[in-house]
This record gives sequence, C-alpha cells and structure tokens, in this order.
Amino acid sequence: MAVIASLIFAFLALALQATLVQHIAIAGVRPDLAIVATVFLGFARGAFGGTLAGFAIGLAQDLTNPAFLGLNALTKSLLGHVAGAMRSNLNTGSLPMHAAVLFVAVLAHDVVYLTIFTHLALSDLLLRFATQSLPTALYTALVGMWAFPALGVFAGRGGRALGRTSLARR
Amino acid sequence: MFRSLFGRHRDRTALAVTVLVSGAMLALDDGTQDGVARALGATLYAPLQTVVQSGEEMLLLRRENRQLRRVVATLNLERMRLLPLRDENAQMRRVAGFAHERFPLLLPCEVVGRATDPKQDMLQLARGARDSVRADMAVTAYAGLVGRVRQVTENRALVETLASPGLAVSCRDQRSGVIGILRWLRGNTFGLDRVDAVEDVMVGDPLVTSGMGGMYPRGVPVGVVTRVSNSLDGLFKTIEVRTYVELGGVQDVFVVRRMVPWDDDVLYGPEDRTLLDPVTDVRADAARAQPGRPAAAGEPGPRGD
Repeated sequence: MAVIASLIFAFLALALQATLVQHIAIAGVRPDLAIVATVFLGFARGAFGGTLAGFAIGLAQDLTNPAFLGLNALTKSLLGHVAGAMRSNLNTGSLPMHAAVLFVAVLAHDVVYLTIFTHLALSDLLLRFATQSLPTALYTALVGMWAFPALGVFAGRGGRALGRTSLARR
Repeated sequence: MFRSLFGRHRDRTALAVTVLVSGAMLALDDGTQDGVARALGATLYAPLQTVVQSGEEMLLLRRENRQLRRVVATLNLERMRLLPLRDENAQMRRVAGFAHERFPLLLPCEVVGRATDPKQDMLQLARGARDSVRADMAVTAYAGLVGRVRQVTENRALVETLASPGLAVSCRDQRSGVIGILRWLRGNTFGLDRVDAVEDVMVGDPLVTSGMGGMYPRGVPVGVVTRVSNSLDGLFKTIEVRTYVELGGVQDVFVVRRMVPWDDDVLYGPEDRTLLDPVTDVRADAARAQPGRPAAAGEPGPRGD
C-alpha cells in the first residue's frame, strides 16, 4: 500500500511539475517538486527506498530530455539516499525544519547537477547557482514543506513509526 | 553470499547500482542516449500512457454519452410530433401513386487516418468489406454529408471527402428547390456550379443532396450558401457554400449502407427500440389492431414499388 502511495505521490509530483508549476513561476523561478518528492520519499521509506525513488523520479525526468540521460537519475538517487539515511536526525516534524531541509536539498542537488552539466566550468556553475539554484531552493522550500505533514501515509514498515511520531509531534 | 551481502548493505548496494547505471547512461554518446531514452520511454511510459489515455477516453465517452442521451431524448420528442405527418405523407403518396419515401440505413464508423495526398482528401475508416461497406456508398457525419467510399479492403475503407477536387455532388437549395453541382474550391469553401443567373439562390439558403445520380440519398444536409454573385459573362451565378461538417476534424462518420423503407421495424433493431419512446410501440400496436389503418411507409403501394 505504501509503495503504491509512493508511486502515486512521485507521479503526481512529476505531473504537477510538468503542468501546474509552469503557472506559478515567479520571474522564471519554479519550485522543484521532483526534489520535494525525492526528499519526502527518502524520509518516508528510508535510504533504500529513497535511493530507488530518487532514481525512478530522476530517470522519468531524464526520459523527457535525453540530452543528459542519467544526470537526474544520478543526482536524485544520491539525494534520496542521503535524505533516507539522515531522516531520523532531520525529521523533527516542524515546518521550518522541513523547509530548511528542502532548501539545503535543492542546493546540494544542484551542486552535483551543475558540476556535471557545466563540465566544471566554474564561472558558469557559479552564475547558474546564484541565479537559478538559490531562488529555486527558496521557492521549493516554501512550497514543499506543506507536503510533509502527510508523511505517515507514505511511510512503509520501517518508516511508519517515524511518520506517526512526526504527525503526533505536530 | 550475494543475498547476505545485499541484506547487510542493502542501502549502499542500491546506491551503488543506481549510481553505476546512471553513470553508464551519462557516458553514452548523444545518439545512443537518444535511442535508449526512446526505448525506455516507450517501455516505461506505455502502461502510464494506456492508463491516462483510457481515463481520458472514459471521461470523453461519459460526456459524449450524456450529450447523446439529451439529443436522443429531444429527437425522440421531435420524432413523436413528426410521425403522424410521415404517415399522412405516406398515405398521400400512395394515393397519388408515388414511390415510397426511403430512409438511409447507417453504419457508424471511426475515422482512423487521413491520407496526405494533396490531390485527394481521403479519410480512412475502421470498417471494411467485412462490415458490408462497399465502394460508392455515401458517407455522412452528424452534421451532414462527408463524401463517398472510394476503396474498400477487408477491414478498412477509404473515403473521398467533399474536399477532393474531383468530387462533385448534386445539391438542391432547400428553400427554392434550385439544383446545382457542388465542388470544392479551398479550405471549407465550396462552389455551387451550373446555376443560371436568373435562379433564386440567396445567402443563408440551406443546401441538401438532390438525390440525383443515385449515389447520395436525397435530403442529406450539405451546407449553407455564404456568397452569391453573377459570373463575368452574366449567364451563371457564382455561389459559395460552407459545408456543415468541418471536414478537417471529423472523427465519427456514418456509411449509408442502403436505403430502406421508412419504417421503424426496418430502421431499428430490438435494442434500439428500448431507447425510443414507448409511446411508439403503443401507437404501432394500436395501428396494427385497427383494420382500416393507413398503410405503413414500408408497405407496397399500388405500383408495387
């Protein structure tokens, strides 16, 4: 059940990213719901589930733009793994904490992504990081933190207690 | 051993595998990446596409079903009012010795393709000889005439639409009765040829098929007159017509299989009859019970036609 819920959540995030998110862009900056879904599923399903979820979400994104096939799959696998591995430390159940986690997650993801994407051209990397990654991280944190209260629904066997605790604390 | 290793380091193994696979995909050259993405996309997205497509189709069908129910109900009411007139008309035709009115028996077909030949505007239908479709059968849509069947295979039929330059249809001005030949000019605009300058044709006049030539049944709506002027030599009218059917976007059509007597028993099967107003049945039963009833539309007249 949790696996199906996770799949539906990932699919919904990607569908929203492709449709609705285009309409809420502010000066071209859009929240990255794929990252929200990866971190969320990492928290809900642990490192193993987070890695697989990140890979699947990233691959789904890569298939729509095969110029850098595997780049999103790689970065999101790493992100899902880290989020899952650190969930017990980071998931305090508070909204500001979730926002902070998402903010850092987008920045960390983009560092790896841009490093490969720009072939380590530092000026390009820094420019993109400052003009795209930072605003996106902020917007993603503000939008994405509201998804976390539903964490208990998506938590599998390992993460169920975590989800409940998270909700109970709230 | 592998299982125990995987069990102990499940998280790291998953990460290593996904990183390796991602790295391998990244290392591919552009052309191969494209091919892999296409193949993976077709495989992975196919079930999703099927689900999304089925959902969309279901929503569309529900909406269409609701719409059709409303139309059927309205048409049924309209029909109830017209049936006595039909019977009266049939009786008068019988007395005057005219042939009986006949009605087209329709076969619904889905348009599955469109030919790209610029010389001929052709539609491909998902029905063929197996469904009793034959060449030269007339094809209509909900709004009016579409064209005629040109070629038939076992399960497909090619329809030459009115927008084909070679196709000409004899049409009648429904208001004045003037007859002309409809030919395609451009886009959805057609010309009505061979109409004398003195004939009465006005903008807004509806056109229907005249039935002459025998290929198209009489009275099928075709379009409306949009422009009338006199030709340069002053002998004929130059008439422009816009068809009711948007030929570029037509999706569902009906092949006129044959003309049958205008009688409910012939036109409607038992399942169709359940959609018709039960009053029709009561009316039919009453007519059958009455010995001196007027002859039904399908019964032979004095000339046996």
